[in-house]
Amino acid sequence: MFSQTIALFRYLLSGLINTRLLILLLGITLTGILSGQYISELAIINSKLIGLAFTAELLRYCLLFFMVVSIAYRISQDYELGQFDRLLSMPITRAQYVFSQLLVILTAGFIFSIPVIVSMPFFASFPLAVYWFLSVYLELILIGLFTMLAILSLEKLPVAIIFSVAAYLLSRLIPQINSALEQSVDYYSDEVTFRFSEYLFKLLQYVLPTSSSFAQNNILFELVVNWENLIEQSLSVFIYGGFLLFISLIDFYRKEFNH
Amino acid sequence: MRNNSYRSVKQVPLLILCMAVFFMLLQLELSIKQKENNKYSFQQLTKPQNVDFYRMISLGSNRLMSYLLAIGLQLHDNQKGKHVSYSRLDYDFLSQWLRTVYLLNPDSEYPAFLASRVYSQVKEKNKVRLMIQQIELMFESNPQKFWRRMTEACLLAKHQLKDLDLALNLAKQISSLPQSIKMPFWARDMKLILLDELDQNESAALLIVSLLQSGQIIDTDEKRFLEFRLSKIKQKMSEFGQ
Repeated sequence: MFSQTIALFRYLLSGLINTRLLILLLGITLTGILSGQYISELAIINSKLIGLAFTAELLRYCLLFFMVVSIAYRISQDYELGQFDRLLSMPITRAQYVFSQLLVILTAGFIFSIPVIVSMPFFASFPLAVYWFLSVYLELILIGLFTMLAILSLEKLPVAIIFSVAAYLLSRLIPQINSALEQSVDYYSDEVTFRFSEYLFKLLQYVLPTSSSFAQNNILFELVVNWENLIEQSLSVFIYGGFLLFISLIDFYRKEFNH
Repeated sequence: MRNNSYRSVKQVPLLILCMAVFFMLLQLELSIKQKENNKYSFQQLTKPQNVDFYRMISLGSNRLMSYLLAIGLQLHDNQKGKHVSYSRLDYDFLSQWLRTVYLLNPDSEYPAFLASRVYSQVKEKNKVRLMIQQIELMFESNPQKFWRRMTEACLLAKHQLKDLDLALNLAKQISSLPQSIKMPFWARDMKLILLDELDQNESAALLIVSLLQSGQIIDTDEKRFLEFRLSKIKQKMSEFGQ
């Protein structure tokens, strides 16, 4: 069973990793380095720090988007080309397919994070580059799992991409939205719509990943590697990732493929 | 060799000729408009959004956002490749921008640096006063971080505003800080420097040398900036035989 999962993982990965992807990663690496250097040139003081944080943030968002598109495209191909019918006619369980996709996400996330470890040492010490590399890797795993859930249940590529990006942005914005709502309580507490939105966003806070699941750019300004923060992020991603994985499994098991 | 003989223009359908002329006229119109747009026109600073707005769109990276806003502000005086005098900027909006950048990242020295070393270099006294007010606000919220900027504000008040009372008042705010706030003795005795009969160049040079020797400036960019300023001041002093 294990060797079947690995074989399926290798097959799925071969559809994702190719020369074009490697060229794109090289392009992202160069863009990160050059734009960071450019921003450094513009700053009068703290130029290295600003260049470092800018490159880190730029790489994070480029790679996240790249991850979402790659994973969603790969799984959507299985729908479009009728791969599921073929795969499920073989002695492979649905759980094995989902676990193979998990392995693809873990591997792709690692490969996609390579531009971080290549570009960051231009601006920061190597341990700090490793810290950001791991932090972005964890974030890529989380968004990869989000995308897997989205494409498995929604089946359509554009809808899945929009859903994943929206869920990601909402997760990042929830703390700010809640704090804005808390500040407005004195003015709008009597309004039903306000109370409803306050309730809704408070609820979402528990359903979506916490802010500790994401790479913290602010920490880079300390120039000290915060391993505690990384451990906290790993734990958050592990818990939320597990939740997403099993929701994906439930959804996938309930799907009917013999149209 | 092939004989390239052409038929008369009359053979071309009228519609095609008209269309060619029409597109040529459009091209001319477009070129003229683009040329007009490329002419230099100064764009004034606009009011910044609420600090919460920037905090929200930064998605948790508010420190980076504050630096990017500061750089964007700093680049506003370069429009279409030309440097615009700071005097033309709306200093009320500029103050609001500096405040927003500061509130977004209270650990950043960038807004205070821009206020004391960049935007204070104008002749209009009310504009310099606004910059001093900004420095004062930042100093009030974090004296340990901004006492250096406050000493610079003292010199601005004395030499650029010629307002010794304001300068002494600012110096008093520094000297009245509790001993728990660590700073060199000369900063606490800023009053003496102000009452001394030093001119603008001498006091600026004295302040920069003291700052550099205090070991409080860690950022290499700022060190380089101050050394450059010091060499310029020394050059000026030697030109005037001081």
